[in-house]
Amino acid sequence: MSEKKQAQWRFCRSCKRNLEQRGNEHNYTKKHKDNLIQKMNQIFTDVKGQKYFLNHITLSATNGETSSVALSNASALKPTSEDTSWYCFICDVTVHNEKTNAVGFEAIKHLASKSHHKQVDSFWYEAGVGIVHNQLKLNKQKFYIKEDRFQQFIIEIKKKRKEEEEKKEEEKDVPPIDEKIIAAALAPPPEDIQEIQKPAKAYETVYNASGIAQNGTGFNEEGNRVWGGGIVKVKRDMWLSWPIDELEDELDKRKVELGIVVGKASETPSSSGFRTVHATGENLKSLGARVLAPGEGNVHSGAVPPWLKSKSDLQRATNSGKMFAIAHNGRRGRALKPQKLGAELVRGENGVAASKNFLPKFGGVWQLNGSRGDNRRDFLENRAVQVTEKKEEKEEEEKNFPAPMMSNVSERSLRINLQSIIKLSKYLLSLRFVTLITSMADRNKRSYKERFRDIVDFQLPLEFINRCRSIKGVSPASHSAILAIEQDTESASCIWDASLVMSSWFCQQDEEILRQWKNSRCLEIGSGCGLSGIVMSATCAEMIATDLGEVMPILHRNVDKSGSILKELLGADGVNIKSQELFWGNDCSALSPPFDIIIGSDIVYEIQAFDLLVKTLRDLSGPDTIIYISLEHRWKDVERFFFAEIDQHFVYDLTSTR
Amino acid sequence: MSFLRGDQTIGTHQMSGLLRRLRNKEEIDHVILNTEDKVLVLRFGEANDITCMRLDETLRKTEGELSKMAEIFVIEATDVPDYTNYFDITLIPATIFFFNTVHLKCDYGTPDNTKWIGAFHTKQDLIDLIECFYRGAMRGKPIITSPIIPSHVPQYTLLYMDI
Repeated sequence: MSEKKQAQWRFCRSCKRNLEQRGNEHNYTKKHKDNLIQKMNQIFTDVKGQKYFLNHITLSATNGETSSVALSNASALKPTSEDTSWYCFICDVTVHNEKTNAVGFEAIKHLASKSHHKQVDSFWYEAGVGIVHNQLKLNKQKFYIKEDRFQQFIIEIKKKRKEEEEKKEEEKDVPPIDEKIIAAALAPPPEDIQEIQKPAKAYETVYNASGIAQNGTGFNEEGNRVWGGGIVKVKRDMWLSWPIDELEDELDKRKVELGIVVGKASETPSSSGFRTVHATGENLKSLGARVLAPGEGNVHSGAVPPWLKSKSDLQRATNSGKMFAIAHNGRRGRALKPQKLGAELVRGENGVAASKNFLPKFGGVWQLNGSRGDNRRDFLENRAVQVTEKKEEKEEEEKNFPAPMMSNVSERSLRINLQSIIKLSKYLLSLRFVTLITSMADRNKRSYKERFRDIVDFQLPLEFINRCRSIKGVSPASHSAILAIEQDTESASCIWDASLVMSSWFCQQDEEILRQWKNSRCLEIGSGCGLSGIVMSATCAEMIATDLGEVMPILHRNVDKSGSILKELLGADGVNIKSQELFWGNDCSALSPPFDIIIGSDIVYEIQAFDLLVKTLRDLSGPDTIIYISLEHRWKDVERFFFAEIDQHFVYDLTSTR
Repeated sequence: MSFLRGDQTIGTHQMSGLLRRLRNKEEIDHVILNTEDKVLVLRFGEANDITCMRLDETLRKTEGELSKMAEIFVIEATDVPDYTNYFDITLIPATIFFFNTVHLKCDYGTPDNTKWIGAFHTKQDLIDLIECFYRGAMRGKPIITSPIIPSHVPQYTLLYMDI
């Protein structure tokens, strides 16, 4: 009855439910599973504790004393005393570990027994451990011991027994220790002997899965200090360098020798200045290191920037900058405003800085201190002061105007030396126009009156005279003459740069060209003072210089004087020059056109006069006439109009002296 | 040199799609000294270099938009040794900024503050940079910090030696 009752009320070990009612369904409930997992783990550790003695056979002493080592090891897993009994959860049995051959023998025996094995199987089925198998990760085999293993265990025990007994027998044969040795050992050590250093605890270096070495003592097997992660501190002698280390050392040494510093914006190199020696960059082309002259500096050394340096003579001779200036600023050379709120710039003439230590003033009004009104007042006062200062400077300059020069002539044309014209004439083809480029700025320096000061001397070059002479069949001369040409203030006729250039150009012409001109009739339009006509008359057969009636007196005088000088040089027959009045647009049949050559210097200056000019030119010229005009680049419009007009009637070529 | 050089106005007659080119020291001097109240951008480089071409493309596209704030010119670095030596230009393209004859510097995060080396990553970078220069200069600052983020700044290395 009681058995039946017991059979009726069977409860699950882990979830404590009545098994009869539910059957095996309850194995899938969460409570059951969780409890089961817990239980199984506990059982496992339990069994493991007992199994420990399978592998580590410790014999219980014959006198009943178990070795302390065994106990200490066992207590790590499960605290047990000498007379321990072990409860097997699965079988519901307690096993008494009596003092038998080995420690934990009985437990192991039980675990190896068949009954236990069966119980494990039934438990496995009933509790449904298979369901939870994945979460458990435990094998059934771990909960029991196989028979083979158990037999082996027994054999090993027996072996150990024998060994122990043999040892004891050996010990008995050992003779007693010599008394002298005992006395020596007991006596205090002599002072000479040093103490033997005990070697430090040597733990093995342990390597974990990823290969990192660790050693609990902090020291290597070789005796080097070790940190975690395998970092070893090594003495300099023992360090083995790689080739790249040596290379880097060498590079560093070289750099120090050469004084090279790798550039960083934050580090400021020496204040005296530095230059780049080598530059590299991705997708960047390198020009190579800049070569500086010994005294030169650059941006980094704080040298004077090139745009503030004063122009040298060489630079003045070139024209491109000024051409560019005219083109860039527009046709009339717009004056720049030097003072402006917000970004003030104090400029001198020609855009060059007024003073050496030049700095523009930024934001003159918005100073940090003071109210805006005060600052503005200060600013305006300063500006007024500057303006007056400038005026004073100008007046001083005018007073100290340099002594006699060719007054109306720009400095450049002073330097028009014949050599440069010779070089350029190589590029001239069939010539119609000779153009001259001067600068507006130079001209405007001199005042109107100063332009018409003195008599201008024009030196006839000796070669030219000789050429003319040879053409006319006269022997070459030993010296040349100077033509003194007057200028007139009243009628505003002066020697313009254009005529100077033209006459010099004439002087440069080769003999062949002079021969062409030899027998030609020539006319000059807009003669003015008559210089170019006079020079031309040295080459041609007949020359007529014309201009407006106002200018005629001067023209007459100059022609007479210079004509006589030329006649001295070239012979009376060789020179034939007259002066006559001609209004453009008037009937000019009195001069008996057509002429072989027509000259004009600086006649293109007024748009209104173009029609008349062109008309006169057409009247005076025939189909074979050559016209030479030299003009100064003043206004672009004027030139454009002129050429538009000319295009309709004439064929023209261009050349220039620069 | 032909007569018509005077007729070729740099601003109007040239094809409007091209950048204006300066050919020698005088022209550069003139431009620096006479550009008023506008940031002056001078690109030193060689027209055949590919990075230069990229930079030129950016400059060309933004020239119109920036016309009130900046003027842009292009210079072949080999033409003007004076300027190349003064500015220590060793990598091209190098772009140098001026305002009212003052040379403007900017801390881009590169070894050299005096010029911008390389091309711009986007048009907007260039526009931002010029705007910062303009604002700084109108307030009197010849050195500014760069508005361009470091990843857009082309990096390079320079080795210096004392003069």
